[in-house]
Amino acid sequence: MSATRVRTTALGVGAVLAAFVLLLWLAPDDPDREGTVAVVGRAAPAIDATDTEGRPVRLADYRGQWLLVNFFATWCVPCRAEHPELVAFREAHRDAGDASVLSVAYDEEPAVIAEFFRTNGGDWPTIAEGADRYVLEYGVVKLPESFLIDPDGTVVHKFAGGVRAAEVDAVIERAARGRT
Amino acid sequence: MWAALALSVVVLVALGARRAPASGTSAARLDGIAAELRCLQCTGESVAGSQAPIAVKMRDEILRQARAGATDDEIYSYFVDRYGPRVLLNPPSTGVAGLIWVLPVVVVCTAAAGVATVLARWRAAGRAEAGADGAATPGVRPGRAGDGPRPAWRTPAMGGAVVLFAVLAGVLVANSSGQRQSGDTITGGGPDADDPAAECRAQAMARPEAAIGCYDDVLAATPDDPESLTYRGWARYRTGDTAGAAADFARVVEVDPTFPDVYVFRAVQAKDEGRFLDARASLDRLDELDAPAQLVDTMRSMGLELQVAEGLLAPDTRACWTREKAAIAAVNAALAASVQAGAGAGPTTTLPPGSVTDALTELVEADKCLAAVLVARPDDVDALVMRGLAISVLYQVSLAAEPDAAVLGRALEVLGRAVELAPDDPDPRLIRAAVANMSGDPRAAAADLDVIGDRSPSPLYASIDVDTIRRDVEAQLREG
Repeated sequence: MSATRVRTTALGVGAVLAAFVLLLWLAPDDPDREGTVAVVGRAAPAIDATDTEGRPVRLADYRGQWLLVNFFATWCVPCRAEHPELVAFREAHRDAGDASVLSVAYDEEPAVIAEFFRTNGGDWPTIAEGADRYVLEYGVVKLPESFLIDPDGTVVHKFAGGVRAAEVDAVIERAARGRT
Repeated sequence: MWAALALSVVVLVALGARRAPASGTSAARLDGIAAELRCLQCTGESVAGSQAPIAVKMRDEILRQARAGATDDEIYSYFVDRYGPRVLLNPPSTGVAGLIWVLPVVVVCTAAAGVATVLARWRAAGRAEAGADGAATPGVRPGRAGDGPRPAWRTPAMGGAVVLFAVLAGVLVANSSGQRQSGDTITGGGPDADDPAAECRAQAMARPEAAIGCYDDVLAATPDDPESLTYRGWARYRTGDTAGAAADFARVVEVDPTFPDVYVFRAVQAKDEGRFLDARASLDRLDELDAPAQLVDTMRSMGLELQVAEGLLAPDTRACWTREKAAIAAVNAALAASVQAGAGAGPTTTLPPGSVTDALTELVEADKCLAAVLVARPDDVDALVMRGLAISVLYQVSLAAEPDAAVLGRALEVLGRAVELAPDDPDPRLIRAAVANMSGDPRAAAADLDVIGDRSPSPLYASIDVDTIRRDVEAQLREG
């Protein structure tokens, strides 16, 4: 085969491969790769449960206010570390009544949860029974994770690894600005 | 004919790779589905092969859905909807990741075509030597015996056709999503062959007692493994064995003082036991090491640095700070609510009447509290900085009602004293820069920011965004 023909062949093959790679590169990629969260931007998965005190808890009851759904466990150190921030967030919004917290306990006994709240503060409802379902519904992987739900019931943000009250407020502010 | 045969092979391979439709709740079916799903709490393990809590929950859900009559695809879709495509062990067949499926097929097909071409040429050459005469026409090369002349464009065209065919075959295989067995590594080995602690890690979160036993087994074979010692220590700590935990952590520092994870847990233990200086020392050591970003992020998300910084404050200063922090959080919440109500954000945000009354009262009380601390210890830099911050927030909150420049002057005076006492400390300079900028003196603010450079403020003031202040100051300077 002459040098010219070899070059022509190589160019032809190279061009087809390059076009193909370019095609794949430009093709829409997976919408939910690692780092993005499937549930964010969608209607929050419904919650209809009973809290550790035996009171009914429904997500629909929180319509019209911001809700931070917090997945935690008392045995998880980052969860314990973030708890004061949840308390501060709740306290800061208590009077205005514009934001609440709802906890979902991960593999936890109600008595342990009650003791945890007694020791560390916080008076919002916590779901323990049937929590597995909500863990999967919200796509929880590692604790703690929290999901901020706007007053219309849409998940607007996921906090992984612990929240800070100021950070949640900042997200609310940004999201509220986007809504207006 | 060769092309038809090759296409048949590819189609058969693709069809063979498809999952057989199944129904019911047989163990084989449930295991098969679980084997296709990734355990997101593990490394390289499938839901079928892991005892991690999330894997157990996912298996329960697979069983529940199978009992309800869901098809395999419906079950996969359920998990993909919630966790995204990464929950599938097979790489996706679209996007750049699709190259994983396509390129090997392209390479194999191209190589096969190359070999076939070379063989054909050898055969033709042999025949030519045996007596066949080739026509030497310009632009046309000799063909095989019995063939007519072959045009010059034929070789590149054939090459292109082979690659196109290979690409199509690759896409076909990709779309039929071939089966890479769950838990296989890229080289085909099991995930845990070189990582005996993987199973312990999977158990560590929900079952620390089991994890301790698991790490005991690993450490029996490798007694100085820093990771196993560290995480057994942490499991021990969680089960209340603080002495055992401390012994494990100390051993890690002895055998591998550069293993970063241990310093996080040592800091947690020291903090919980009220030894804040020790906690700070562990965090400083972590800072010196090239700790993985994930570890640093986890530590930050725990708020550990903040808790240690607060623990290091004098008790009376800490009490004042607790009030001030809560009040500032309430002000931020009121600002957020105000923005939500459509008031818009910015320094001229008008807060709804009465929305921050409690916060205002708390800030005034925090200010009084800090004033009392400063009577006892006039040179307490922490108290001076906190007082400067409290006064400036009070100014911001009362801005809409009646701006009072004298208030900012008082804040600057307090912060100036703090800078005098600790000229190298970024905290007083950061707050003073913010206040100076607020009072319309961007030059003074810029001077403080220059001294701070790229140093980070104390975790106490981590919510104050240095970059935002810097941008604002630069904008004011540009405007003259």
